Amino acid sequence: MWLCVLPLSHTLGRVSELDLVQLAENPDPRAPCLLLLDTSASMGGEPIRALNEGLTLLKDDLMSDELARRRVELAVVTFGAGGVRTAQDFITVEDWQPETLSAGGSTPLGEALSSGLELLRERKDMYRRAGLQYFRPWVFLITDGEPTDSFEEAARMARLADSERGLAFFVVGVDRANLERLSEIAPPGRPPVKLKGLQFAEMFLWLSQSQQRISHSRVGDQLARPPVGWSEVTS
Amino acid sequence: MTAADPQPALESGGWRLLAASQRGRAHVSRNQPNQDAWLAASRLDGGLVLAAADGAGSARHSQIGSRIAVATVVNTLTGSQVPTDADGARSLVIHALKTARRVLGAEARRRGHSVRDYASTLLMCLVTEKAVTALQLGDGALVVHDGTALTRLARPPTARFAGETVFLTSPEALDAVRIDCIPADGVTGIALLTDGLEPVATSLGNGDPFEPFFAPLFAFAEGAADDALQASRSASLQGLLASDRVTSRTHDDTTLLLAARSLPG
Repeated sequence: MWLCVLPLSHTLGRVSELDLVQLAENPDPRAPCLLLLDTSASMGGEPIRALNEGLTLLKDDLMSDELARRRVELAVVTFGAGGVRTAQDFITVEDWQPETLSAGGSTPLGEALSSGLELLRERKDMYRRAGLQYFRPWVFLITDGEPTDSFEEAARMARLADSERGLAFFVVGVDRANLERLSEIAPPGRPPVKLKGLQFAEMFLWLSQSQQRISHSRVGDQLARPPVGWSEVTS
Repeated sequence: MTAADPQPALESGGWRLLAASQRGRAHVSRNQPNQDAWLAASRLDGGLVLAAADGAGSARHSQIGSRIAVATVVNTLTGSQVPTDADGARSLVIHALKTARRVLGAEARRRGHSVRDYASTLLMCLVTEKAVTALQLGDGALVVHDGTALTRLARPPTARFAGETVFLTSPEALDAVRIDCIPADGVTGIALLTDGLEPVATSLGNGDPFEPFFAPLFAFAEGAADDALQASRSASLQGLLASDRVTSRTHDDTTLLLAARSLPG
């Protein structure tokens, strides 16, 4: 019989010098996403139910993505009964418990947009102070009617920020939304989209997929994918 | 090696080169190719040419763009005359960049594509006996080691947002390009990496190279004393890029070129 003797260096070689390589720890970059939601009286019944379901779906879908769940930060500002309310200040998806929203009241869209932009400004200031990187913020406005307050100034600010590529502003009209009015609010390069029926689920899934892609490092000069599947094609 | 040992015909000034490129999880799951590309070559005068490029995720054929970019750069710089001074070196690497842009444009026309389909970042390093000249366009990093300290070369302008960068095909490319030319004296390590590795190789806040990442890697590269070791150690490097500990931190394509040498004295 013969003995096979392995040289000592062979067994020691199994410990790779590359095990000595240490990886830098870095905080996750953030992907801020602001939702401005119409909860006025006309949203009562089916629409608000579908909206609430959509928000839960948004959270669940984002949670299924390892990076998005840590990086995406959501804020929710509602406008309806009781006026404008910050239902949720920016919070990581992981920590977000979507509140069940109820419908009522008028549509102070202008004030909501103003509030939302201020919330976003404060969040960006926090990021800068903390040395956190962040992706281009998204502002997603969903309404089923038309504004009952003066919205021109807030809309102008949002459109300006969008044109300077400081944020991406999306306007979605539901049901009997006045699309003509919404065209005055939405950026010229990104006209308002009409939701197909009450397909909030499909829309929020699209939003989730978009935020996942954004939060996965480089987007470059990538434009948002067209909102197919949940939007009506208008001639 | 002793003085009696035969020297390899192209010793590249004593440089040992390791390289690896790993397709990111995001591309694996979407059945997309590795959009990073790299190429390295020895110069007849013992110098080295290194190039790495990262194709834009949104560009349809960016893996073609990145490959054309590195091939053009290496082709342009490998046979070029040694620049006589820093200005000459800068002009030469700019010329390589412009040539890459031109070739991308020509290839796009030939195939009936838009040149934007080939969007890619570009990092290059020309190493001669006297100087190390680095050019960077877009994200990623160029790092040199002088035995005691690590320095970033050709650091790009700070991007406004995470995930934004400039590409070879961008109209503002020539404004965004950065070049550094330093004496080769004392340089013992050079690394090129694409942005997939930035979160583990640098401190994202200030972009500084992370010493405990690079030091063992340069030592590992320096020990690759012959072709066989360069091959096997490059394979080990590939293993590191493919490892869970790296891929759990970054889902992007990752590419790392390491050139290392020991200096006498």
